[in-house]
Amino acid sequence: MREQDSRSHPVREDMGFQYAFWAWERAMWVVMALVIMLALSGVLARGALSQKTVTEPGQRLSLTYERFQRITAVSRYIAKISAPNVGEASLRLGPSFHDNFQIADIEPRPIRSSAGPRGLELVFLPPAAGELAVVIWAAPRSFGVFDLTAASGPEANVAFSILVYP
Amino acid sequence: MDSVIKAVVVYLVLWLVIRSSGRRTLGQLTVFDFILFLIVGGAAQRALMGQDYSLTNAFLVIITFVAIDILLSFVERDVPGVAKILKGVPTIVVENGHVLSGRLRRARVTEDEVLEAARHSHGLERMDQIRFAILEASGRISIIPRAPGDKPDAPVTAG
Repeated sequence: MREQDSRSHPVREDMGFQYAFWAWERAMWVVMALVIMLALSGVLARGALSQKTVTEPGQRLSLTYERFQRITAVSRYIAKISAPNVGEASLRLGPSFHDNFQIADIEPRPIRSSAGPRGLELVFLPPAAGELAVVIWAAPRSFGVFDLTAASGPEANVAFSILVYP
Repeated sequence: MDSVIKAVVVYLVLWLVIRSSGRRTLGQLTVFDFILFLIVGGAAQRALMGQDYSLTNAFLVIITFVAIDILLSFVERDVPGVAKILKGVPTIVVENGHVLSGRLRRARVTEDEVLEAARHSHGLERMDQIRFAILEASGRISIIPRAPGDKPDAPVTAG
């Protein structure tokens, strides 16, 4: 009797099933290796392929963010605003951001903030020189694809999308 | 509702991962395997509970897990085809003292592990003292020793 043949004594074997299972087992190892590779590349959040920067055509506002995120996991947003040397600089996050993301921290602290139908408006004192860099730590509260907007003033707008994994 | 869905998804993923890791994991649990399972349990627990540490959520998750387990036990009992997938089938790895090396290799079990099981269960010292070694669905290796009068059979062909 060949090794591949099923025996019926002392146990009833099903070698056809067993060989198919061993093949499935190896296929699953490949799938697990692929998942690990995807995670290392950032497709499952936090990595080279996840980080993205969008810049407004007039270079007045740029936003660096993670386009792949996980629900409840905090991630970083860096908004760079070309601020006037006098007066105030503002950053407005659209209503979708306000509804679906929870802000854990903002640096520097805004001098004023308000929320309304147009989203969350944050107002900062501008730096003495150069552009204002605002770092926001926020976590998504639900999963899915979110089309978001950020704006500084009436003309500097950027749109960006985030995929949040469950 | 989301607690029940989470529990079903975690059960399914854990089953797929543990099942595809092979019977070695189940039968011959080393100290490291034990620690690995503790870490897997901890990671799964965080995913299941999220930020909701209420008693209600804990009960929901536990009840869902037990209910899935009961449901699968009925399926295993009544549908033999599914039982094979869920539990696996026994595989003979030594027959009349001859090692079925292709099967051992695919199951990632070594001859030393078969001999260890033979020593442990029957005090056997050599492969030719084993009539059958069976890798059970549970991952354990069962040994049936040769009777004193048994004659050696023809070796098994690999092809």
